[in-house]
Amino acid sequence: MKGLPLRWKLTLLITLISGVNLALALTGLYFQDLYKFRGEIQRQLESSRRSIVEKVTPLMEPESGPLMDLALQSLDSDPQIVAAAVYSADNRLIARYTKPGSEEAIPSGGHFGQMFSLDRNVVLSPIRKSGRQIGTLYLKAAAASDEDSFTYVLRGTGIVFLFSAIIAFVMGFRLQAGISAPITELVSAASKITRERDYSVRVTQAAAGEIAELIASFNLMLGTIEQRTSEIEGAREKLHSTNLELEGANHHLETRVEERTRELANAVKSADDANKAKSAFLAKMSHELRTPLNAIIGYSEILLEDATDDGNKATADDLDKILSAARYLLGLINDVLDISKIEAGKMELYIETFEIKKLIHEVAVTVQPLVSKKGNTLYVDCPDNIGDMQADSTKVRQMLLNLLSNASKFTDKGGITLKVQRDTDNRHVLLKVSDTGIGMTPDQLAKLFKAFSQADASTASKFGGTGLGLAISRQFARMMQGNITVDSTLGVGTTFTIRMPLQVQDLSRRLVSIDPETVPTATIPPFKNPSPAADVDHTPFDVLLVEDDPPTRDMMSRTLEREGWKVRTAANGQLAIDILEQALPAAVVLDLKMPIMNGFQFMEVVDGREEWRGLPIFVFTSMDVTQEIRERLGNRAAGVFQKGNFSREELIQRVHVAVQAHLTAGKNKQS
Amino acid sequence: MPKILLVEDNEMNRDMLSRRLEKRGFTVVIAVDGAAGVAQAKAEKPDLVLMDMSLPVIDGWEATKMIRADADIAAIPIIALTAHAMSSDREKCLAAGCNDFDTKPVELPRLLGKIDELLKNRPPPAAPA
Repeated sequence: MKGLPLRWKLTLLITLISGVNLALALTGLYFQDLYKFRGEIQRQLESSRRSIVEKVTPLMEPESGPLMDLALQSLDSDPQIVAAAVYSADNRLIARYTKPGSEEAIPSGGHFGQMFSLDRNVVLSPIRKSGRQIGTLYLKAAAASDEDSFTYVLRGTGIVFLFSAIIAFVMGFRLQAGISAPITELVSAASKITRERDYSVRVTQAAAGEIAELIASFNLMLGTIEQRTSEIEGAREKLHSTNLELEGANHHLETRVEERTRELANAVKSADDANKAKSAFLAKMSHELRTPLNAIIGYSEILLEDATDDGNKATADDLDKILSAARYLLGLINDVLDISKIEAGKMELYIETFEIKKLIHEVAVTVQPLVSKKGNTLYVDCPDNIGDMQADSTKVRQMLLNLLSNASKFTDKGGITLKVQRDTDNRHVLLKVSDTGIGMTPDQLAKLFKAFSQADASTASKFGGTGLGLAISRQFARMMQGNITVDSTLGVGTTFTIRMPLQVQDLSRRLVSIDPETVPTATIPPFKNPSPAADVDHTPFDVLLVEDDPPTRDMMSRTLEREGWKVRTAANGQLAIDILEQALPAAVVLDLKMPIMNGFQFMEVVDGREEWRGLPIFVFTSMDVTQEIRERLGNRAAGVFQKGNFSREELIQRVHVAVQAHLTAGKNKQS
Repeated sequence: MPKILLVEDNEMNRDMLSRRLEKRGFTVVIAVDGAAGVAQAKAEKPDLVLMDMSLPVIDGWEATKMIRADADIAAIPIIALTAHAMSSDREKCLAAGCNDFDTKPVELPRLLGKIDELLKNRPPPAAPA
């Protein structure tokens, strides 16, 4: 039963219940029949007994056996009785009767007492007269009819039962289909779904009631699952394809990065090699070129002297031409060598203390012939009390000669002025070379300091020159913590200004022992990337960030710029001082540990200048802010923030207050 | 006339410079390498030495040191001449004991200025015997 399919279970259940009911009903019916049948027999027996007893009783007195037999003979008409006998009071057989054809044995008397219990077809009835038993009647009913009736009833019942059972089975089979078919279909659908994971299957059985609801819910659930599954599938496919793409991109990127790294490494190496080769080549070449040039110049000079002495003017003129061509060539070689040295970072400074006035005088004497050649007049304006300066005098001389020769090159019958003065800060000297020459357009100005670039290609042929002089001069100025700027009006004239410290520090040499890595960027700006006229910037700004570590500087400056502040940066205290010379910010964010000039030194310098005193300085350091450092800082720092462990908000807030205060102060000053 | 010892291995340079100096009235004695330079300095006792730095046998720096180490000739002013116009060379020259330094190719007026400067400071010449 347990393993049977549902429809068989239902069929059998229906059949079983109907069968049991039927069987119970039939059994009841059967017993009722049996009881009625038995009752009938008893009644007939009783009536037969009474009639016999009535007939027999009068015959008992005179013992008339034959009469009595006759009386018993009347029982022939009673189909029920098969045997009868009458016994006297003393149990003596008086008369007897047996149905003809029947072979019933008649008890001979005296011992039939036990027959009652043995055969219920037998009735023993006392025969009484005036209340006294005078004899006993023995009657026996036919037993066969009882058996027949029972078999008959049983057989009928059996047939009815069988028919009913078959009908119940058939109907049950039909009826159960209404319940089991949809369930079966549900089950098969579920198992198919489980097996094939096909959520598009729908149960279509047209059922009603709860099963219909169940099927509808099941279908709905399937629909939801299918939708979810397809969504999940879609998402998974998308994820997969995205993953694939990502993987591909990643792989590609990795390959590219590797490739690029390799390429870069190779490029760096080959550039390095090429640069070394170039420097070596140039050094060698310049030596090789200089030796014969040396001879040419020397012998030309000797011959020129001789020719002049001999009054041979024509020869002297020719020799003069040879000499100037040779000197030009030598200048060119020297310039190229200088440029290559600067590019290779090998240009060195020889710092010495010298009298400014004396140097200016020498330069003026040297350049005088050149100036007067084109009918120009040289004006030198140098105060007597200008004093000494500490710098590389050779390079200062070279810069001035370059600017003056440029001025005379581009000026005709005009004035060239060399003006020397101390800057207002009394720490810098300004060397100005002005001319009344052709001047320059802004476009020409922009290209001015680039190597091998004259203001105009045609000027080179017209005016001569290598186009290297200004580039070299600017690099020299920068090496000495100064700069060259230019101011020009087309057709009016040009003024070049060299601004440099009176006390130049030899950073290139000192730096080597401190931090070789910062040297090229900190002191010698890369030659390839000169930004003309952009170095001196007097435009106001908000925050000066002094920090030597480039990533930190970048991060910090972005942070500050996000607040809408204009930020300028410096890689060390010295460069920061240079910026302060140009314009004063609202606040300074200062690292402590830096090469060349550290944060403490920077603060000392700032406090040493009256106009800078009180400038809010926020120290931002990676050093452990120990008691000692706090003492060294004293009250000077407006705030101390430790890198990696500071509140950005607080720093921003403090700087914000300083910027606001600065703005207010600026307004007050204006009004 | 002041006597100048020119120590120079390059023949052309030697020829030119000696002729130009002679033309300006100097007595010029020559040496072609560092060792000869030291020997000539001892033998000729010049008023001034013009010392090329890159010399065969012993170089100019070494020769300068040897002259400075010899009490006889230690006081003779020496001007170093070098093609390498680098400040490190210049310092090396001064460290070796040179009084001054000039670069080649020689700019004669400048060199003459340096020579005059050094000769001005020399002790008065001993009376001729």
